[in-house]
Amino acid sequence: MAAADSCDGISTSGGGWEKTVTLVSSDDARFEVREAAASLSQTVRRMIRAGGDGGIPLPKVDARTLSTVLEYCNKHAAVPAPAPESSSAEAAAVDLEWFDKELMHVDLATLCSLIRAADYLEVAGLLDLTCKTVADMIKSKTAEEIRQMFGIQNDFTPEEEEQLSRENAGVFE
Amino acid sequence: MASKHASSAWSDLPSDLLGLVLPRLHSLADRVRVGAVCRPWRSGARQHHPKLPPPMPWVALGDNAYLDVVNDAVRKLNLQVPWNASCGSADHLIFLTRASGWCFLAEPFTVAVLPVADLAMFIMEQTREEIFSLSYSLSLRVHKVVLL
Repeated sequence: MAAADSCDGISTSGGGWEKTVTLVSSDDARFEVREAAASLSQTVRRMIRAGGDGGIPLPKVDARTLSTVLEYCNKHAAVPAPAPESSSAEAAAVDLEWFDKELMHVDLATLCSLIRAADYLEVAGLLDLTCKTVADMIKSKTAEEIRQMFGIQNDFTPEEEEQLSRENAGVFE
Repeated sequence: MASKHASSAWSDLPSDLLGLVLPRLHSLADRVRVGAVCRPWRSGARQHHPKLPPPMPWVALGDNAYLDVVNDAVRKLNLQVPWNASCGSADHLIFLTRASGWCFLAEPFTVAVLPVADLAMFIMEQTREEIFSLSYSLSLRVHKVVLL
């Protein structure tokens, strides 16, 4: 019964009647989302179960970030699980892969917010995708190149720098 | 954590999240460089190091050169001591021997050399002397190294 309180309505998207929930971002933007998509977030899923009025508050995620997270959830929840090894399964996998790749074409500030949001909302697939994107960006770069890319200050003392370059002589050359 | 500079959203990345990025870096060189970016990343990299899956091994090309497959880079091992054979590696250490039976572990990043034991002496202690002198005269070969 409590769970029904957080469900704001039903929609006809996708051809059938589907439950929707309202998510509220830190800056008070409201998003009406199909429950199946919102439930890709374990955090939201738990809050749906717990119930509540007036939508589910997500105080750690702003509207801009949340809309990207929901774009991911809507796409991934919409893909039915077809029989593995069928041609449609392969096509769906290729389509999702392409979608994920496109979704990661964001500026670095957004990517940083997305990782944190995926972690807080516990969207496993998005967390994996964002961490992999960051790893791919770091790959083959020197520490200084990584600092420049992410706008990180070098906060080591000259003595620590000296020690680092001594420890890593073989990698810094 | 005392930082004299303003930190960025990236340097403040929670250690747990850095711990999800690190296993996706398959080159040891990349993991080492992440630890050299800033203090928070350094402590994060140190904290997660023991739990990471082993990095992709380097391929020994001979002549002190190693191929880092992940980064498509050849790294030279500039050790100051002569050695004859590379017998294997463990974690980030390379096990090398000299014909005299002296063997050591080399650290490719610091190019530091850690003498392990005088292998010839060790084997002599473990083996009856006459057998040892017979096999040793045929030159000593190491087939497997186990680091504990």
